[in-house]
Amino acid sequence: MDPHELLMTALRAVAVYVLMLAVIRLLGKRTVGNFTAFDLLVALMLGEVVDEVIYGDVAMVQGFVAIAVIAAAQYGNSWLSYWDHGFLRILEGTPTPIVEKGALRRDGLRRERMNEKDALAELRLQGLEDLREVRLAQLEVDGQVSVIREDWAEPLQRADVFPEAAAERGRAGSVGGQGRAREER
Amino acid sequence: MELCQVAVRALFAYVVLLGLLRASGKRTVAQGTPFDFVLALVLGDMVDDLLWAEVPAGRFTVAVGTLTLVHTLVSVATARSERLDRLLAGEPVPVLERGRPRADAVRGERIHPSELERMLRVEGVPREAWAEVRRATVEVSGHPAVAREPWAEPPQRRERARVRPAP
Amino acid sequence: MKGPLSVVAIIAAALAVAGLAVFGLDDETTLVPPPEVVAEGFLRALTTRRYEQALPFLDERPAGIGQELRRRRKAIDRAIGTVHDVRGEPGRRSGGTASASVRLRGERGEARLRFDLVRRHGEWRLTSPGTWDEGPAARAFVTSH
Repeated sequence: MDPHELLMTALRAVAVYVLMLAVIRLLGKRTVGNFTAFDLLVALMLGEVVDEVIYGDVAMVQGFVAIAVIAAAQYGNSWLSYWDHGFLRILEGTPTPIVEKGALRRDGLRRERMNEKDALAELRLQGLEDLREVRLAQLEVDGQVSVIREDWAEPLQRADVFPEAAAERGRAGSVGGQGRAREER
Repeated sequence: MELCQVAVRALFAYVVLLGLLRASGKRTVAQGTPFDFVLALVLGDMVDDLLWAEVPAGRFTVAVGTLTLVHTLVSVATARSERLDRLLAGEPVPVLERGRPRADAVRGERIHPSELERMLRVEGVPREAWAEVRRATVEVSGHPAVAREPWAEPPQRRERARVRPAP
Repeated sequence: MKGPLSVVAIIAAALAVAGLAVFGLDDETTLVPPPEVVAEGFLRALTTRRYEQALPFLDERPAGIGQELRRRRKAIDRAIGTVHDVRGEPGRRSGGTASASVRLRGERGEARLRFDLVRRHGEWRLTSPGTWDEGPAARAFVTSH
């Protein structure tokens, strides 16, 4: 533990920090923000390389190359996913329905190896006690559970109560989408 | 004896990391940005090296300490300078406006259409109801933020008087 | 600038504690890598051809040491084949010197190498790249010199 060695360690740490900051920034926000399993692995890989570079076990250049290659691969990957539907589906999978039209989808639960209690807990986290209110609940590729409620279970909108708002909804409906399914129960 | 030594090293690592994290302030690490995450991974990795005595405690301290110090300095600097913050962290990017995806933004962030759908589905907005969304943004941290059109929001209590009683 | 200053203070305090333990209380195996871990680390680096990583383990690095390391790696390879297990064993420790041995398990047999170490700046360093203790390599090693 001589001062020279410690100083070198500190300098390498600063250099690596700056590099990682640049790399993560260039990879874009979603690298770690909206985690899929793959994003997590990339973060782990980057973190793992850093260790040896800071302690000087690996030449700076080699470490930088390793980091750059991983980053470039992830960058290329996200472009590929963006351009090609099939690629993304292989990489990330597709969302799995776990509740549909008020009933648990046992095939979905089984596929995701999720037990009933966990599924119900996830729904409760979103404020749902009654399964019947659920039109479609899915386990998304990033592990989150998305819930689309039945129309009658949605909170009231201003457009349901005020005529001016309703008019606005009518206008918007013809612009962006069909509007929600109008199923009365 | 060997176990005792492992325990001492573990205690050293724990105390040092705890001290560093507390000294750097809560905001620096708890922001949950992509970089914070990778940094946490690196720090954890270094603890492993110390635990098995592959690294002397002094060097471990300098390594984790320097990383934390630079991180803290950057945090202080970005808090003081908006321009630096934007440079380092980027800006929130609107990806959907008035029910329509913004092609340039979506391409820039390399968001696949299915990801955009997922972002909104998690907020409870199915594809058919995209018209209800005034703006969907990808925040600096990578998380999506969805704001609905006023007419799609529930009425607020202050608008009580305007509600016609049910017939 | 409370944050960064506090961080520096913690670093200083931790270094002080480590320094006290290593230099003041003469800790040789807890907050610094013990002799057998140093020897093991050296051989791990050597057998995986990471010569740059192996060098810092040595106390002295005379001219031509790079070649010497390569020679030794080849000798080990010739003797026991690809090494897949490297295990350090502690030896004696007294004053500022110590000894340790490392058991290598390769495809075609086992070997043990002995090391002498010396303390520099509180850390253990190898005085030589190792001598053969047992195993088929001893003769091959001598001739490769």
